[in-house]
This record gives sequence, structure tokens and C-alpha cells, in this order.
Amino acid sequence: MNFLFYMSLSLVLVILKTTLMPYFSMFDQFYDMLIPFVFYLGLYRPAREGIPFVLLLGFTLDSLSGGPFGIFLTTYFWIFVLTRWGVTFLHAGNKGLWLIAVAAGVLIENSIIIATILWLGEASDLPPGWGIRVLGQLLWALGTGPVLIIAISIAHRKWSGWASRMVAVVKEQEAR
Amino acid sequence: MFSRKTVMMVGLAVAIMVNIIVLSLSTRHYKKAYMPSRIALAVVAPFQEAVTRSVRFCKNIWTYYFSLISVAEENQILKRQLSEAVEKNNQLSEVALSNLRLRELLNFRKNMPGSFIAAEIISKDPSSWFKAVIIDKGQADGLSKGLPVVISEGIVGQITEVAAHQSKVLMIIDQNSAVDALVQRTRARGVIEGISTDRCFLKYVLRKHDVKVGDAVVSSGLDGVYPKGLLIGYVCGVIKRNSGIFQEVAVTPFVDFEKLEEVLVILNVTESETVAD
Repeated sequence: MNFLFYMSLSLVLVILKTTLMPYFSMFDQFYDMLIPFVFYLGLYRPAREGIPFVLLLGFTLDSLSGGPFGIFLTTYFWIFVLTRWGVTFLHAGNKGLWLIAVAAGVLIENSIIIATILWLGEASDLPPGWGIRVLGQLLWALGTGPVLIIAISIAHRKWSGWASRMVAVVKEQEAR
Repeated sequence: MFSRKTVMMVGLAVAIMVNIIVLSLSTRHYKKAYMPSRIALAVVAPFQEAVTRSVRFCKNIWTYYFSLISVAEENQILKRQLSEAVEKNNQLSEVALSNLRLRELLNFRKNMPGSFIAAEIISKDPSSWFKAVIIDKGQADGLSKGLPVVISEGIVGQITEVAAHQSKVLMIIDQNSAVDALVQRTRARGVIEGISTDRCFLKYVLRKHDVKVGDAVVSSGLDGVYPKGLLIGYVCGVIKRNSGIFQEVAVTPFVDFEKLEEVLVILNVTESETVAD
């Protein structure tokens, strides 16, 4: 059931980012909305549940993107691993931590992309205005990151409640 | 002395007389206002006014209520009709615009030899660093990796991945894209490379070649992907450094990549080697 929730939410976020947001120029510099989701998985879900999904997610995004394959796979995996490591000594429910963590996630993704571009070519291959692009994404992340995590958390709770009710109903019908 | 009946008759007669006198007096001086009547008016009139107003208010509410019901119903109908008309108008505008774009594509198609397939763009790249789009045609429609994608304004890019019913198109403005190109006027040759913005660079153009701002850049056909003579963009800047054998040429693509909706995929590149004028 959890996996179904992750799949549905990822689909919604991907469609939002790739199909709906391009219609609004104000979202041109919006960050990758799956970063807060991966961070959420790292905070609250065990590695055996999170890692396969995070890898699947990275694979899907890499397939949709025109960039070199593996960028999203690498980004999501490391965000997940770093979050799992972070919660061993930091308080997972700290909203301030969320703020920094999402921004850090955005920085990680952009650093990996920049490193890839530099690896493939030379410094001049970096698109003009790349600094503003990164800054824009960071600002968006600082402004909306924790809100997105809270929304994901609420949606997950509602989904779990609904799923357990459904399971109870099915069991009751089977018992009859 | 007098009987009771006589007294009553006299009393009645006196009363009638007094009444007649008073009436005749008051009729003669009816325009004069008397103090008691003023007081009465001052005391009673406000109540009368209040009651009258209340009654009128209730009457108005009653009347307006019913008329408002019909007005509200009419309003609802008109609003629905207006919204339907607006929606229809919007649909017609969209159809007209789509028609215009498709006509342009059709005209373009007529001028190009070989076979094409039209496709719609269904999504954009999840990362702002890369410039790729997904189209709604795939292997089942005869598409394969490496096919060029164009519109009437010029080259869009090439297919880099194909699924059964969708394909990924890497646009020429992506930094991983390269197109062998010529400056139309002087035939100076170079390679168009994207920089993931709305501009490209024509690289490896020898310094000795004459390139001016405004020159059109077309595909050379030598890369084996794009047919020869397809429009790419126009020169918007030329930088000749003191050293080096090449000059840097900035090119603005003719295609507006932000507004792409429909594209044509060229299926037989070998058949459409050169674009007809």
C-alpha cells in the first residue's frame, strides 16, 4: 500500500513539474519537487523500503530527462543515504532542519549536474546564468520545501488511514 | 314640568344646531391650522409613517423576492450561456491557432521530400539544465533513435530514445546537441552546439570566413541526421578573438522552443536529402 502511495505521489509530482509548471513562467526556476519527497522517505521510511523506490524514481526521471543518464539516480540515492545518516544524530521532526535539508538536496542535485557538465566538457560549457538558476532553485526550496514535506506527510497519513480502513473492511467481509 | 321626551327633543335640536354652526365656521376657515391638530399630527404621524414604511418595505421585499427569483434564474441561465460562449470561443480560438500551425506544418511538409509523421509534445524535461521534450509518437508509429524533428520554422532536434508510443527529443539548444551547419550566404561551415538557453553557438568556423549578424544558418546535411538546407537560426553575434583559428558565432534559433506544441519527425532522411525551396 505504501509503495502504491509513493508511486501515485511521484507521478503527481512529475506531472506537475514536467507538464503543468512549464505553462507558468514563474516556475521556470523551480527546483526538483521529488527532492523533498526523497528527503521525507529518508526521514521516516526504513532503508529496505526507501532505497528500491528511490532508485526506481531516479531511473524514471533519468529516462524522462535529456541529461546524461544517472544524474537523478545518483542525486536521489545520496540524498536518501545522507538523510538516513543525518537522522541518527539529528531530530527528524525539526522543521528548521527540513528547510536546510531541502536546500541542501537542491544544492546536491545542482552540484552533480554541474560536475557532470564539467566532466563531459569544459567550464565554458556551463550555460550562461547558471548561478542565477541555482540561486533561484535554492530560494524556491527555502520558501516551499518544508511546506511540501508537511503536505506529503499529511497525504501519507490520510492514505494510511484510508488503506487500513479498506483492509479492515475486506477482512470483515472475508470473515463473513 | 317638561316631559322626558320633550327634553330629549330639545337637546337633539340644540346639538344639531351647534354642529351646523361649528361645521359652517370650520368650513369657512379650514385653511387655518389649529394647535391641537398640529400636536396630533406630530404625535401620530411618525407612527403612521413607520407603519407605512414597514408595510411598504414588506411589500417591496415580497415583490422583489419574487422578481429576484426570476431575475436570479435568468441570471443563472445567462451566466451559463456566457460561460458556454466563452468556452466555445476559447475552443474556437485554440482550433484556429492549431489550424494555423498545422497549415504551416502542411505547407512545410509539401516542400519537403520524404515521409513525415506529426507528433504532439506532451511534456518537458524535469530538469531546467537540460532541454528535451517527450512526444506522443514512438516505435509503434515507425519512429527510431536518431530521426530528425523539425517544424516549419526550422530544426527542433533529434530523437534520442524511443518507447512504444512516446519518444524523447533532444532539442538543438541542449548542450549535448550538435548539428553540422552552414552559413547560408557564405557557405562557411561549423557545428551548432546548444548551451541550454535560448541560444546556440556555431563553433569551429574559420576566422577567414565572412560571417555577419543577421546571416541565416542552415543544416549542411553532412552529419547524416538532418537533411541539407533546413533552417536553424540567424547569426546574432560574432566574436573574433586575437588568437585562435576559429571565430565564435552566436546563433538565435528560428524555433521558439518555449512555445513548441506540434512537430514533424522526418522518417526517411535519405529520401529528403535536400530541402526544396
